[in-house]
Amino acid sequence: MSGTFMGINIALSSLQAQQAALDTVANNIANANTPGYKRQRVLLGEGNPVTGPFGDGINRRTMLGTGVDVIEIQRVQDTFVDNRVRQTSASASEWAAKSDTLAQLESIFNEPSDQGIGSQLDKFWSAWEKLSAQPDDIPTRKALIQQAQTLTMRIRQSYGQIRSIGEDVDTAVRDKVGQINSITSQIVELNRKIQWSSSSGASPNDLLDQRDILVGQLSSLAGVDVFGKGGQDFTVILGNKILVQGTARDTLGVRLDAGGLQEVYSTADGDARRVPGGEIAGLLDLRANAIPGFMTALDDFASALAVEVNAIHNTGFTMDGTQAGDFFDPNTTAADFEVDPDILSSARNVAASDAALPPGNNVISNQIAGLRTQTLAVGRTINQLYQGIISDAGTQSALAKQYADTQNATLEQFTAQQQSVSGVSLDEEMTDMIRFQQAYGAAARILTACDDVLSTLIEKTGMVGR
Amino acid sequence: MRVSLSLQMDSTAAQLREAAERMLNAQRVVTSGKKITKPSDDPTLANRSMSLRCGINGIAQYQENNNLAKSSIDFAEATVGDIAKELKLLQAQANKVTATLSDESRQAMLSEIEDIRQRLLGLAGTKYLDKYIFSGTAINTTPIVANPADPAIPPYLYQGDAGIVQLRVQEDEKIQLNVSASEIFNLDGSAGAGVADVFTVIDQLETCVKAGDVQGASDLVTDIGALHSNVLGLQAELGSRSARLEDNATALTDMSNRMKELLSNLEDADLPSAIIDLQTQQNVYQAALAVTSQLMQRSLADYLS
Repeated sequence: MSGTFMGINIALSSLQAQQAALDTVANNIANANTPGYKRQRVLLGEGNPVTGPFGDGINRRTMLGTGVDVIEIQRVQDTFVDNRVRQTSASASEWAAKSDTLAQLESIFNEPSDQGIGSQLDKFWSAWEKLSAQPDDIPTRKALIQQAQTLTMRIRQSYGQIRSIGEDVDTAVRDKVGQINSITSQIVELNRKIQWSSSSGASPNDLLDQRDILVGQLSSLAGVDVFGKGGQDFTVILGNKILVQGTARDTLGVRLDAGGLQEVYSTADGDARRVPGGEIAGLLDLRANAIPGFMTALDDFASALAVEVNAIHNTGFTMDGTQAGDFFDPNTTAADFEVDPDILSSARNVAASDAALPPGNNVISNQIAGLRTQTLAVGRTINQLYQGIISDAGTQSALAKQYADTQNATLEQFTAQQQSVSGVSLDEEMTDMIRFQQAYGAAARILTACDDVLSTLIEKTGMVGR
Repeated sequence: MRVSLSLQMDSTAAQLREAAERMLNAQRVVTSGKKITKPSDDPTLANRSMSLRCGINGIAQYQENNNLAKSSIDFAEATVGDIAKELKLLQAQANKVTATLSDESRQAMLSEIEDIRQRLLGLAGTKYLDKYIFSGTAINTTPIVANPADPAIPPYLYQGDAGIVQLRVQEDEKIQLNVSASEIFNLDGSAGAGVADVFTVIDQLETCVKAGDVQGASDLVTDIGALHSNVLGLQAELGSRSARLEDNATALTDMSNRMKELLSNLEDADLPSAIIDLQTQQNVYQAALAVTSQLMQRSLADYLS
């Protein structure tokens, strides 16, 4: 039943609704550049109609509208695109992590150039050739030892740098897993608030935005899947295991597995957790494959160099006519590669000769210098063994960069789609602002009209003939 | 498509970033003059470039060895040539032996023969870079010394060894540098059956001169001839080694130049096209900046009052 003041109520509902819409426009413009903000929209609906005073009340009735109602303030989003962005960001950060680290690895070798291990190796063979020309010349012998030391130092250094990149990766994995724990604890906190807000009937848009941001971060760290929308049913899955469910969460840790590699595990049940994507997956993969691969390859190269040179050197004789020992210390690997202490103690212990006394005999130094182009049992020369490492580093790095670029381009496309749906358009907001501003003005005018009508009723009624 | 503020801003930023990155890459190519600066720029090319570098470094060393070997062999060849001349002089002395030599001319001949012996001993002890060149690998040992035995037969002994000194002048080729005094002076009997060594022949010639033994001297002329052609043979051998090294030097230079050219083709940027590319990228970047600054200034707010 419509009352006397119904017009005022309708105008009021309109003023309130237009006000809410204008406030939403203000909020949208205010958050135009806020990361993770999804534009909001006021969903307006008609008020419940009431039976008017017209008609006979039995066969003929009139229904009067009672104004406007704010049904909901909605977040505008496309869940499909949001999911694509999340999934692509996981693989994009996985490959970005690989690409960055592999680029560091290849830059260690500083190839192709005249300064890398490759050139030092060439200079090492040349030093043996120079010894062939002057087998009993002490300065030539000392120059050879010096060159050998430069070579071993460069190999040690490169090995150490690869190892320290490995250690950096380990530290990064621990940091990132710590970040996951911090993010899941924030998600749990948000879930509690969302649950509470939802139960009071409100739509906690800003909390949902915050949670989306956190899930996005989680995904680029570890590649997670999510289900559910509310507070209690919201579930985050990490590699087929539940990471967060409502207000409960699993905390993760990092430990060494049986093979001495890092693995992520749950501190709750003590089981290992598979990390399906994201930066952590990229880092773990590097730690398990590329980094030890390069260390082994460098070890193999150093060991081939030592074995081949020593095998020939052992058959030779020192300047003092005694059977020569090793040239490279056979107890060392790439990590501590060094010239044999005997050689370091005296240049006379370098063997150039294959017979006890003749000072001009250069058979051994010629043979060792010949290793430059000699194909070993593995089917490659020592130089080619080293070139294989560089080629491998280059190929892996190029491949990772290519994947990272592709994933990034895809991510950019999906992000653009996401922003196209959920981003704030200033022109649109301006249009809305005018739309709601004018409606507000009109509603205010209605209020004035109602006021006039009422004042006529109150003040002019019963004043006949006065 | 709905264009939101963040979409517009982000994609503009991304486009500018890409244009800037391409410009930087083009600039890197021009300033470094290299197509690639790290293996991942082109792994195949990097691998080939490393192989070529390895080859070029090797050849540089072979060239150094080749030069060393050539100067050493040329020096030995000249010395062996001097020895051949002395033998020729010795042969002339042997030819002068007659039954009726005056005491004076006999003394003169003996003193001339003594001079030749001393000069030959001196030549046998020739050093190159302070090392004996005719004593095999025993490069610190005087090759020919007087025989301390009594009677001293032969009068001088070879002290060196039969060692061969070789240097690598090609990937798979080594060249022998030395020739031993034992071959030169026929202490190894290589000049032919029945021919004694140079110093024994000198002693025999002295005996003939003193006795005026014409027949003996004329036999010695034949022997000295055999010794002389033995030395000439060695000289020719050294000469041909030197010629081989000469050819090899040219071959090495050719090979090195070819490989350097290949490396340059592989690694070095084509400068004109690199500069044009840089210019293009700069234009693209500047155009992007100009267009962006035009578009970004405008929104509906500018026209609402």
